[in-house]
Amino acid sequence: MLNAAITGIGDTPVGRVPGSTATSLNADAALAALRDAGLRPSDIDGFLCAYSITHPHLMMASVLSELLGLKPNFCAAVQAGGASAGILVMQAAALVEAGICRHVLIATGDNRLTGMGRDQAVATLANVGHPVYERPFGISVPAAYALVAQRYMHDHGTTLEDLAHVAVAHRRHAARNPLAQMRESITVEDVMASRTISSPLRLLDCCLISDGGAAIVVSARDAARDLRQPPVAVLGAGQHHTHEHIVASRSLTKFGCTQSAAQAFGQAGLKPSDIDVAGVYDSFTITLVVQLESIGFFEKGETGPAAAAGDLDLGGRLPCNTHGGLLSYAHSGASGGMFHIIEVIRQLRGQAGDRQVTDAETGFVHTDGGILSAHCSLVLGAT
Amino acid sequence: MPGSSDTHEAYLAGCRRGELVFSRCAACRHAQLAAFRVCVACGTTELGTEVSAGNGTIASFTIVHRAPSDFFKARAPYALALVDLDEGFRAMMGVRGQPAIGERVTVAISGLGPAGEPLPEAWIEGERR
Repeated sequence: MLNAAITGIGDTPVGRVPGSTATSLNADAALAALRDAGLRPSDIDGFLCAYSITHPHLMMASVLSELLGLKPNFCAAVQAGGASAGILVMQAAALVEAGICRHVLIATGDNRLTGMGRDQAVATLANVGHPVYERPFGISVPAAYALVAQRYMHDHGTTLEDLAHVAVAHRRHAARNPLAQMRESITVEDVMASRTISSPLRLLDCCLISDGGAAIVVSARDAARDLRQPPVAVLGAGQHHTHEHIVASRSLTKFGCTQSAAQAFGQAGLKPSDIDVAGVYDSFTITLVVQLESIGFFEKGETGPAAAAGDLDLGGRLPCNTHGGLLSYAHSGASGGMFHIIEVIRQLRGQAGDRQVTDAETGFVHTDGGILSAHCSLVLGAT
Repeated sequence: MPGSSDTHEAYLAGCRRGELVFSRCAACRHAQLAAFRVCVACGTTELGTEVSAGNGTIASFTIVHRAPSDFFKARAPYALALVDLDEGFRAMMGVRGQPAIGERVTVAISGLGPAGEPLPEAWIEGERR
């Protein structure tokens, strides 16, 4: 167990947020997190942020820190794609653990939908492909995950219908969340009939492109006691990094989530079956399937049938992505993973409203960046 | 003056000659794509370049419908694959013919990239050149 607790959370509206900029979304979320914690800017002695693809800046953390009137003793940005959110929390926990900071504010946000549009977002994200060994062949992020999906389905028997059930389960969650970007109910047939993006992945297997921001305050445990909200303990954290480009991955079916989760569970002294609620990165339906089955929540090939049986729903074996996930809630860059963390914290505080998991005491979050390249897992606990 | 360069140039020069070049570790003989500065198996930097015989197996593939740029939109839908070459390394390339996992392919530098650069392609057996 670490000496770190999450003491504040804040998020902005998501989806199409007219007038927003990456900076405004970061700042709005950060201020909301401070209010939630009952802290003022002068209480913050550490500041961390991620990155923006719509408004890139050489010193994003300094820009935001200035905007928020902070004078931190530690200030830095993390760029790890979808894994950024988990890594930011792990970094903040390490800073309070080391006694360097008492209250670390973490902000994320990007306006990918109104700031650049889908076409440009797809093109910009495709640039994560290797310039020599991938991009000349027309790789995109969905195509890279499709290469994983094709092989994983071949080896483990996952079907197109299985993937569709995962998408439907996320939309069921989003329907309970008034803030979700996509709430209209979908069926397995809708997913099966949606147009192919990169086979075997179809439109409804893919995450959204959104505007949105999300922020968190991580505090030393003794500094957390007198704040407004019940602190959520960071019980364990782990990372593992094996490659960046899918052409350089040693496997198409085994990824670093196994090691990062084992590290986080080991530190917490818990195992997957102890978890009451989970937030697991779902950039594509296959992303969730691979990770749930690699981390040990389900056996190989079991996730699709489990989703169909309601195991990912409220009251199921593993309520997962109860906000609707990247597939149906929102995905705005580093905030995407932050939304998973914030949802699990709401669940552990008992503040999830209509989508509350009964008696949720232990939570698990997994964030993944690149093409299942960068992994960070967190085990969280109610206090 | 000492310079600095990545190992990609040997691969690119190979493509220009019509050859698929890869790295082999002088110490442990591990074969890998020329994308690394060290041997990913043993960590040494003693990498030599070799030319692949161009025979391999499709490890995975996808048919891309939503292309990332105008160049590829004009070609969509198109196939790309990860091919395990018999020498023991994996490379990405376009596919001529109908791909399937486990399918044997012959690799030739017969493709052209967005900048007009020569690229490897995987030819399914029986596909006419």
